[in-house]
Amino acid sequence: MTERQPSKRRLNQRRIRLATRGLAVAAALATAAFAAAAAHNGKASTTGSSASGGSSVARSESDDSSSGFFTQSQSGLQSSSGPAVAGSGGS
Amino acid sequence: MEVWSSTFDAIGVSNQVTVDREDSLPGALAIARAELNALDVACSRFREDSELAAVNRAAGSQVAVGPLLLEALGAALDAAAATDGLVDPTVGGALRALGYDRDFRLVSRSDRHTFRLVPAAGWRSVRIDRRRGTIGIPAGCELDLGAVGKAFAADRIASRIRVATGASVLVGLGGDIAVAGAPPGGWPVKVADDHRRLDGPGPTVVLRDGALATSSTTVRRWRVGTRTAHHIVDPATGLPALETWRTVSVAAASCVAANTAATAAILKGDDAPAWLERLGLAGRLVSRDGSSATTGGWPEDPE
Repeated sequence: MTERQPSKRRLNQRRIRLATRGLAVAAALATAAFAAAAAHNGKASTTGSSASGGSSVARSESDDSSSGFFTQSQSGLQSSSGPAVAGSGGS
Repeated sequence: MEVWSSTFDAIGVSNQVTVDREDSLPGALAIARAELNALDVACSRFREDSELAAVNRAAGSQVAVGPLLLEALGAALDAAAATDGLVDPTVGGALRALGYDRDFRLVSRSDRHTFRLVPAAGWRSVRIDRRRGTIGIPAGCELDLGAVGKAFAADRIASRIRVATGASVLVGLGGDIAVAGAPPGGWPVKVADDHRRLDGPGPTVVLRDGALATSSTTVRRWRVGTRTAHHIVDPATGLPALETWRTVSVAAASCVAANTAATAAILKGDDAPAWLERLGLAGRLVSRDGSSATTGGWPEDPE
């Protein structure tokens, strides 16, 4: 009597399931590591997952990292009703 | 006020140099052209012979590059850090997967029907070794300096022209504007969907120092099958940003900061006005229906 072997198709499906589970575990580990790194930097972070179910990028709700980079212009802006010498818009 | 101006096409956009002394214009124009040519050779994603293309091809190893790319990428990483990764130079793969894989004039004419979503590898994965002059990105990652590179060039060109000629100068690269010095009345700048339409709708503001940049979801759009994509991509998902705002214009001390804030505001959607307000930045946000919101002391539109 011979033991019944699973079909090749079933084997492939099992491989795919295992591979998918492995990817999910890897993604979860990567997310956790990223969140831990953000927390280490003293920032409360949230995570946005990709629509494709792939990797994710940690985001901080803190604006601390932007201080010093976003410096205001000294004179500010004034409105004008005269003709312009240049345009700022999409390109 | 009398000023002298010249426009020319380079790096895929129309550019402008305006000075307050007639005899300074030829020298100013020469500086702008030389700088943009150097930027293209160092930082273009679409030139096979650029240093950036070499870095992207060699993903997974460190590549020797010149000081200009080191400095431009440094500015892009600063922008990423300041926006907690919203404005991220590792979105090159995401843009390519959406179909923006060549000069935009060719992309807009293509009949591509499929796309993929490729989240960015993340700016923290980029390795710069300033001592050795090398850049490394992980395998599968692709850099795109995009708008930050253009803003970086505007700051750099304005500063160089001011030092070299002594003239007050306005540099506009595809609608991103940096000034160094100003004539007595300042620089009147039209804020519009299209920076080339000085006679179109939109307010005019006077800029005396720093920079003014506008990011828009209405330009650099292309069809992919039945969908429409645009060039401002969320690094977390690889998707084009939601079109809460058609344009966001921001004034700041540098064009890199102004452009970064404007692009991040597009990506932040409904949260953008409060974010710009917290930063104290003057901004004007125009929604899809044409209504506008302002922040940080942006002047009221004249009646």
